[in-house]
Amino acid sequence: MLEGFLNALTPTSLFVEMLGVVIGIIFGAIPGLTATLGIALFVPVTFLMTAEHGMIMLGGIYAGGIYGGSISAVLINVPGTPASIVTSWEGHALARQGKARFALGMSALASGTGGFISAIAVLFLTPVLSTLALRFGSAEYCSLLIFSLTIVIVMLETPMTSNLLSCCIGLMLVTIGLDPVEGTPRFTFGVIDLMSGFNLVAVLIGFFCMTQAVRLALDSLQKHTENLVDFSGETSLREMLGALGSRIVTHLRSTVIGIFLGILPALGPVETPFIAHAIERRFNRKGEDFGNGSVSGLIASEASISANVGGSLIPLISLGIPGSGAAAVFIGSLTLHGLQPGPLLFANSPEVIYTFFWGFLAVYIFVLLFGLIGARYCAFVLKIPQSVLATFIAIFSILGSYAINNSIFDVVVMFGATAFALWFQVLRFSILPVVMAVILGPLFEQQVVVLTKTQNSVFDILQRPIADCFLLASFLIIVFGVIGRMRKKGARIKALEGMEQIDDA
Amino acid sequence: MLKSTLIPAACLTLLVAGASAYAASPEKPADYPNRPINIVVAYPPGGGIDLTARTLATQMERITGLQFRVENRPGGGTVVGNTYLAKQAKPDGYTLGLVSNPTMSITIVDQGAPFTKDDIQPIGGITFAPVVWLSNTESKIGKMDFNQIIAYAKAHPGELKVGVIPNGAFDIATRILAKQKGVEFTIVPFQGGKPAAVALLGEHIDLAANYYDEVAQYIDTGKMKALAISDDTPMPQLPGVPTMKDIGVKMAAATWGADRFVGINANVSEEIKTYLADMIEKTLKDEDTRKAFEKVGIVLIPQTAKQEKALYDEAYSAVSEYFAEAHAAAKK
Repeated sequence: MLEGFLNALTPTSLFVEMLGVVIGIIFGAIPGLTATLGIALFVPVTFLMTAEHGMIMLGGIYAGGIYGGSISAVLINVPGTPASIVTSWEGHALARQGKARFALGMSALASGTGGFISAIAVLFLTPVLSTLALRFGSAEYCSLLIFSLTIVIVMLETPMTSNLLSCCIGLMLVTIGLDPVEGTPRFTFGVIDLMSGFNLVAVLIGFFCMTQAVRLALDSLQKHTENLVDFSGETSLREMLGALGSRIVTHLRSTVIGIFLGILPALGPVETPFIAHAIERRFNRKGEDFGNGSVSGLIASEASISANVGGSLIPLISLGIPGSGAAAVFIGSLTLHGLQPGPLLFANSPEVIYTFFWGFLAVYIFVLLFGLIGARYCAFVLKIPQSVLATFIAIFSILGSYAINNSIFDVVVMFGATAFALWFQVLRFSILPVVMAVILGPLFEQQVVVLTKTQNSVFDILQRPIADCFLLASFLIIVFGVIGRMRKKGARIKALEGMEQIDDA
Repeated sequence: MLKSTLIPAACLTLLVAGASAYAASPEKPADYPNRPINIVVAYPPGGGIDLTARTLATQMERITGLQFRVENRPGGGTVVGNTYLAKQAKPDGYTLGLVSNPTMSITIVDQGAPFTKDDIQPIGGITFAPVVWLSNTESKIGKMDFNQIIAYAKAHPGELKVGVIPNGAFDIATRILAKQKGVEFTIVPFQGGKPAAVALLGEHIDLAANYYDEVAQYIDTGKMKALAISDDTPMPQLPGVPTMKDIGVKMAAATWGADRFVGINANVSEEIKTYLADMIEKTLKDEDTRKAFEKVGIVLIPQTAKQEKALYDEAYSAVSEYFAEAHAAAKK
């Protein structure tokens, strides 16, 4: 372990750690280019390095990419990677209040410390936590997903029926493709490209990047010349630490959720911030306005994403099970170096693993440093005229969606998603339930299929305590949510009646 | 008029003569290749096929001095990538594919892939991996061998849950096995070998079908037990694990598993096909190539273009037969 620590601090290691983070931030910050794409492009480069340096660099690209995504999310409301969608709601709203620098610093702080804690968990708790990945069967997954969807449907301010409807639309969209039981094509109408369904990243780029490009273009056409956000506000490290310190419970809660969801093989950094944010919205007692510049929401999102990356390494290293898409690329990279991730890796080449772990810890320190020091230089983005910005985002949205699978079809899907998102805006529906359903839907269907095959009755499912907890929590959320809404409605009607009476008088 | 048909005919004779001369001692076709050759993989990076393609590309570069690039075109359960290989890419010899059978045959026969068997021609076989059936050593059937498990399944119809990938080799081999042994399993569909392996480790299912390289580490650490393999020849990595012959199941040999080979658009000129086939054969025969593949956990079982073509045809007819029977049974 100590040897790994020293290996991670050699000049070469420090160089690849830094290089990875810088490459990652660039890829992440450009809307349309994702962290995963960055990793995929740089995997061949790592073949030229030793296994541990290659892994550290990929880890750096990944962590940097996720953080970089938050920069564009905060400044121009375009999530640089799908993982930064939640950050864009809170961070950009903060930026609009003139706290852009504060929001950027907070996300670096939350992300860096969240990742740091998760790296420590990986170092010391891997053997203990790895069994958790195996405990989670289809019943647990299904109930967790029901819980997540329930929170979104009930807790969003938009009318519950519209949330439910949007959620169903999203779930229906993801039934396109091969069905998980027989492999029969569904709703493909003979189009081969539809056989694997809509590509999730293409859809998300359409929903969030291209849509924002259109919005910016519209703004600039209507001669809104004022700056998107004000970047002048100074902010001190002390202020940020204070803000984090007063929300330490939020931070720890989200970090734990992030690590936990990371350990589960099926939930990655795209899904995690949604769930962490939704849970925070439910349990936060600070009375913040979630979705409109809540600092707690921002911390929840950033800490959980970074912690998720660390968490996904736990089953990867100990069981050979990738906890996320990026972790799967790590496996490929390790195997090409002749190392098989899994129970034997710790026994056969512990030096590689410990060097990687410590390197991963160092990566998060670099993220923290770059985020805190480099944030002030991001202001130049805001000096770019909106029309130019819109053009760049549009170009990179097209490039990014094409580059996922080198497929023009994905570009078409991206444009379709853009139209869909704009239509929802006109209807004043929230796109969030659709997004949640599109992200979680395929997993939900797969797990339901396995559930129906492996559990004989409802009673079997109720015998599983983890599943019961999630189902009970979902039930309570529905009950309290409905009561809460009815009270609010009642109060509003009363207020209206009161006003009428005044009018009558 | 006569003259104008004569000249090409004469040229053709010359070409044919030339081609047979190449076959004897492979020479580089004129002006080919003058740019890197792509190897299309119909899976995302990081998986077994991708690994095979990348190792092959490096070794081909070492032996031939040419440049090879791996291109991932995942989607549609391999249909997207294989359609590109068979139909969309120019038949100019710059697009090869690392294809896996019977998966590809199944997509043609049963899932309406928009190309036929004859659009793709195999030009060299790399390896064959049979399906391995596994149990969790800590489960209630963990101590049993294959025959005891069959006896248990007979006594408890439908109780044992087997994790497979639907309509793939795992699924079909398991169904053939169950039918011939007269037992009833509950088949649980997973979206990949890894999720099924995880479910087996967590005891959410009782048995799983998988490839050796994906589960080797679980077997080595004693978490899983290999029960049988879907071939008639034993696997060198799994000595003592019964074959289909050993347990008395009639199953097409070297078919239900993963036959990984290099395929090319059938319309590519014979000259280039022969040249590439020779180069692949030469690469796979090399001792250092064998070591490089072994390093990433793949045991080479090289096949010449001719041998692979025979395997390819057999796999296709086995798949066609299976689905014809299955559909007839479904109609009754």
